[in-house]
Amino acid sequence: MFEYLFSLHWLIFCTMVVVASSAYGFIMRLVHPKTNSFVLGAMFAAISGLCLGLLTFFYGAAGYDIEYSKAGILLAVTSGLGFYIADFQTLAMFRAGAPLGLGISAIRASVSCTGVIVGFLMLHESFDLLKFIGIVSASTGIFYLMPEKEKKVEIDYDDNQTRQL
Amino acid sequence: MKLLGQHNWIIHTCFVVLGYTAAFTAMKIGMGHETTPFLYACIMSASTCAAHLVSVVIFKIKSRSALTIQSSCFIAALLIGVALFLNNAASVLMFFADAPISLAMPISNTGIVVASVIVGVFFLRERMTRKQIFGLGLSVLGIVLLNV
Repeated sequence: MFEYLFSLHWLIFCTMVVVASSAYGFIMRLVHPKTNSFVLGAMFAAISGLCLGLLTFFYGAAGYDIEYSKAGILLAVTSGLGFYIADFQTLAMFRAGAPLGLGISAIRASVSCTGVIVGFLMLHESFDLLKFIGIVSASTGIFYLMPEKEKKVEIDYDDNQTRQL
Repeated sequence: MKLLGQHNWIIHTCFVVLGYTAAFTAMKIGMGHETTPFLYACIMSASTCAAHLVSVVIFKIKSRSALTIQSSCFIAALLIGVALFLNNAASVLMFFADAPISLAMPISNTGIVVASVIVGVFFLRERMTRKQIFGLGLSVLGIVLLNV
């Protein structure tokens, strides 16, 4: 099975990432407002973890080496805690009325920016003019994505006229 | 500040970004520590699940009320869980398939933004102003430039 999977073109997996990630956002947006976000989070993380555990088991059973290190496990736990914050805050974001398109766009653009900044400051990665233009472009884009201040409307019931303030 | 009061989802978005940044930074460092990516993703999901469970226990102790779970919660959890699994597995397989990161990252990130906007506009009847469409274009351009 893995031989076949490894022979597939990366664009197929890229499409899968796009579809699965969009589905994640879409379903999160549709979740019932009364649902406890921690219970839901525990359930979907358990389902995802179980499936990944099975995949790891089959990967090992197929004869591939399963390597692990103490640092690797610690960093995986740290990543998991980061995703925990992101998961329940995503639910809170949609509950607070965030539109799917704007919310996801703002997140993706912001994460790309912070990723480059953290990479440059902490991991000493390269930072060139292209990345600088990218940060300026994404930041300006996020600014324009933000919802406009709602206009107050005053209704004059005597002559049925509506006036914008 | 008035804008934040009207649209407090922006505050939650900042926390989402904080969470993802921490997760992706740890993931980037973790990939250099000889751990099989499938196992790494599995431990990641397990620790997310554990953190949520701890929160459920704290919530239960603090609220002292019965925890009701609707049937819709099970369906949502199943669908999100499968979507997350597919996302993680496909990301790992993309890594194994020697995907050029400078091409794969902009394509996947731009694809997610475009797909979310399409789903939002056509299925959830969300409206976008011209200013927001312009902002979306700039964000997509920024994402492409940052990931190349």
